[in-house]
Amino acid sequence: STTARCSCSRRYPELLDQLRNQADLLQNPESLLIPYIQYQGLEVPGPSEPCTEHPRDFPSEAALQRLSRRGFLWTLNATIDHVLPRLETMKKELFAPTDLEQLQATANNLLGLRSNLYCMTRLLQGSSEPAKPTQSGSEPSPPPPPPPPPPPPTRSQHVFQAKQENCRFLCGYHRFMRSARRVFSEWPHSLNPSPT
Amino acid sequence: LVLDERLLLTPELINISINSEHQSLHLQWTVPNLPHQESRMAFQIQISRFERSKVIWEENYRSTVKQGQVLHWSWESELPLECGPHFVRMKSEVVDAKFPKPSFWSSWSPWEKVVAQDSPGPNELLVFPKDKLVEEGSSVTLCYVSGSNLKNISCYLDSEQIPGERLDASVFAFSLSNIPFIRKTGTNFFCGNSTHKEDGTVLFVSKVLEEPKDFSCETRDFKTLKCTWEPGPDTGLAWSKQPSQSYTLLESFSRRKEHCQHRSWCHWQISQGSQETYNFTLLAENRLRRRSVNLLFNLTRRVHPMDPQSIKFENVSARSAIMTWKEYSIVNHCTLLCQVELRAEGEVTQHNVSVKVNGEYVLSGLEPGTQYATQVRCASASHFWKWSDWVPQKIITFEAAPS
Repeated sequence: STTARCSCSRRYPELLDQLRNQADLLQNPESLLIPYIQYQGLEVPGPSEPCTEHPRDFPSEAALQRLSRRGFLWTLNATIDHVLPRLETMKKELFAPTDLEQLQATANNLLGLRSNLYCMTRLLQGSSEPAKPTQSGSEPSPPPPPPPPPPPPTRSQHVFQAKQENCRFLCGYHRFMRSARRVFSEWPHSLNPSPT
Repeated sequence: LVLDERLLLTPELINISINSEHQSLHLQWTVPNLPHQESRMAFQIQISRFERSKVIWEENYRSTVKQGQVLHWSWESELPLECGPHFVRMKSEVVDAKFPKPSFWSSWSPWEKVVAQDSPGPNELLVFPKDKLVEEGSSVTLCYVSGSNLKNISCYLDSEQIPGERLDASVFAFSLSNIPFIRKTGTNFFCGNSTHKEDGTVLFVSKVLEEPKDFSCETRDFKTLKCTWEPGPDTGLAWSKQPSQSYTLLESFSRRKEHCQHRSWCHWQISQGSQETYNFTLLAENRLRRRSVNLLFNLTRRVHPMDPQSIKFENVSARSAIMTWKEYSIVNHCTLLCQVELRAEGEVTQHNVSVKVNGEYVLSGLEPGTQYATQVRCASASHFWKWSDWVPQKIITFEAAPS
């Protein structure tokens, strides 16, 4: 994917803080899921949720925890590559016109996050990051990206099922960003942490 | 003998087609052994649902029948056809004055079973109709068909639980009347129980298409007519269920048609030397309804002149000046009546001027060294329709020569 690359910050703590803040912003369901539910009339009575995440849509938090820092950055970047076009599709009809500005802000934040992921990856490449104990040997190449989320609902699918599919996708997306936020919060405060 | 004739005249159903969107069955049949080339016949048609014995519709239909002719008849169900199997049978009777033999009904044709939807699996729940488009204020019946393992199913319209009526062992129906428009993305109806993922459907409720109001047309240049109207609410719905209503201008004398690109106005090109009288029909359409309004007018009575241009003052002196202005090429078509307004120190005077080519008016009796605010507007002299806008211009008279 082509991304405009700004100049990268060389200070690891500053970049990590930016990544954490961006993930914080993006995990907030007020940015996408809630406006979508309201516009599509999917609110349901009582405590239950209008929809639940589909396990296949996004990597679990446990799976993210198991990755090396570079592997995690790679997975996060690959996932954003799947989310952005889906948001573009949803933008045309599935959000209230009044929510489009918010939608664009989310897309911009995703682009910003991806840019910082690139910078952090470059920083880590310069570091001697120890491979995660669970992985055999050094990590010659990043792990394969997660399986792509399902394609958007097709025209032939009935609208209720399509509404549910989009809801589940957004639900998974916000959960994934929360998980990413938690993984970032567990990252060491320095580029080359002393081995414990 | 009579028994054989009853069998002979039994109608033969050759095809029953299902239209899910319209919830209709379309029957095609013949009467194989017609004794005459052509006879007037009556048919009695029965429709059952869920079981052959549960007749829900019976109708008599008459037609003149030729030998070998295929007959057609349609029936619209208030309940989605997917909610359960239907059964159809019919019988016939010759009711032709040309053949006054004692008439008698034929035997019933065998029941024909019609299945619009396979039964659900044991853990499956199906809700119908799917994505139905209805007009605000109308009535609709929904249903769910549940698998054998599913119990205690609740159904919700948006977030309000609604009671249903049991129609069959695993079929519940929900009759909704006077449905309101809630949102463009539809009203959600879904059913489920505590353990089972629900199924649902979306009712697309369209606002009622209104007749365009204040339909009016005018020209500013005798080249283009601009028609305007009040469209009423936009009936467009999301999910590509119904685009916004479309508007079309049709003119009966020229038989021309124009698809309008805007919801409340439309341009119509006036062709050279074309008619002076127009008979327009403005047609508003969406998927559920058509509305139209008509307008008959003479072009010369719908002239709304452009604003006067290039206001100038010539031969300005202490006490007078000649005010001139240009008029758009409309003057080739009609004489204009223009109003010149003069304002100074709170005093306003107004003068009418007839304009054939360009405007000209002599301002006299002015005060020396005084600033005057002038403005001019024009309208058609022969048939008043609308004034142009006022166009202002200031003038300062010269100081008086020392006496």
